Amino acid sequence: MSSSLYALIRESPPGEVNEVVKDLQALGLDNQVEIERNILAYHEQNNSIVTLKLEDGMTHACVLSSHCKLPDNRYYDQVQQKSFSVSVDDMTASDIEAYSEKPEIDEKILTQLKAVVQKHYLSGPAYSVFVDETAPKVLHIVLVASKYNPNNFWNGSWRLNATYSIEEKTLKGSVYARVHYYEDGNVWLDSTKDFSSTVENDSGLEQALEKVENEAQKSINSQLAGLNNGMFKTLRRQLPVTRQRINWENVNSMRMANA
Amino acid sequence: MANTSPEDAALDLFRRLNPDKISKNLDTVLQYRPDLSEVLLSSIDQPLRSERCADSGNQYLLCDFNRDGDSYRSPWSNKYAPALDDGIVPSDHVRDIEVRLNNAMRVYVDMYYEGGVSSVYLWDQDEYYAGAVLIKKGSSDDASGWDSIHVFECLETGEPDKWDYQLTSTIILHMQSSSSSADESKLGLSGQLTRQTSQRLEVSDVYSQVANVGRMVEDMENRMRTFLQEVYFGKTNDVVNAIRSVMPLEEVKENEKRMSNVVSGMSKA
Repeated sequence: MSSSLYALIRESPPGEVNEVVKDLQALGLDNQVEIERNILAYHEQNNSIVTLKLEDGMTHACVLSSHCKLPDNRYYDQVQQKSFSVSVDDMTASDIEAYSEKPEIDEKILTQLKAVVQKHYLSGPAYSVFVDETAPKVLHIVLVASKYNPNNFWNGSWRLNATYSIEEKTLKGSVYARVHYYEDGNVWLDSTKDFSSTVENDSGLEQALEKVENEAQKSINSQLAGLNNGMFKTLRRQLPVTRQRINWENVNSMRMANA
Repeated sequence: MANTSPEDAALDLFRRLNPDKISKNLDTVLQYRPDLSEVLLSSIDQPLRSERCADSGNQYLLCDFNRDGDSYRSPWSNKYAPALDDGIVPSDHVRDIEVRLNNAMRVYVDMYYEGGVSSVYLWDQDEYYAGAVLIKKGSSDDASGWDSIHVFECLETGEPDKWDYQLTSTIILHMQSSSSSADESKLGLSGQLTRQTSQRLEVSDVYSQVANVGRMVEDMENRMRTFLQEVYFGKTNDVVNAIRSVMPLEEVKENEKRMSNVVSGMSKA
């Protein structure tokens, strides 16, 4: 029965999982192992960003996903060839170790992924890429941007998950956007766009990714405007049918259309 | 917030979790903490359900305010279903206002919603009375829906014939993109916003009672509709565009530079 209460952790909005856990703990959740298991599952599902400190003092933004899971709650980053644990309080990598069991990623791919996120992501750009376990010419790509503004009661994330087949030149996946606004209420925007496109040549990955992401974003922008002008009006009008406000003193003498 | 009470924690939780799943998630929490059911069911607003009144054939809305045990009172017949011999009903005077308000709100709903269901429930209080005005409108395919929950109290002011009306209004709104085209993103908006207001109003007779409540609800809904519009279609879109830019950032910067040159050129002229 209480296992489903732990599962609520995985339904946290962007950037608020620790607050949700605190609330659930105040309601009585006390199994630390279950709590941690669900927190990590949340971060994998939502491709949370983990900051990894490198030897040269620089940092690298790693992306969590089901692709980079190791035993004992550890993860790896194939770009940096490191494995690590996650400190969920501040989303930094800890117990960092060298990890060379997976092949290094082709520099030509990395340059393009870096270019896509730097060109369009305004906040917290991160990317990761993994060679498929069984098909060495198939790559799993994750791109993430997130912006948290709890002082103004909103948080949001943008993600792309794609599978790129180098030989077939195909790119398939989904773009996700989620926004949580919670001043005087609780409002969620959720958007998913599946895509399936082709990549012209080895250096066409950047353009293909840019195109599917732009299409998804433009579609969100135009559909929000469309709902405002369409469905929202049919739910409740801004002015009455008569274009005059109700005369409440005489309202009960007015005819009712569907009495 | 070192020692958050379970009540406050639960309220904070429902300010965060997906509002589309509020009823399901509330069940989950209450299974674990049945002791919180009274406080959570009265303070967390859920989409309204409707029933048909056996006597009048009219639809009415179900909520905590017309519930007694497992039965709900119809505002049209004043009877409970399933039937209750000793169900709580308002005093004759308050019931008179309730009947008039229910009829008035039907006119209001016709005018603003062109369809939809409304119910008004009043109850006696020590000082005078309090009430809830409920409205529900959904799209035919149920993909979109609007629920209004207005709760008000009439409080003594010390001045004769004047009452302080305190109103708390919540509107639950959910919408889905209608397009099924693979070229478009699948979009869902859901949630609720709450606003409060209070007004000192004169009451001379039962007609002014109806007018005070009606006008207060109408004003509030007009303001909240604008607020919903800003948040649902404006704010969420702004946040998406604050995370990612369709235009390459280099071009955005160049445009900004060009704009600031234009502005500084204008100020020099």
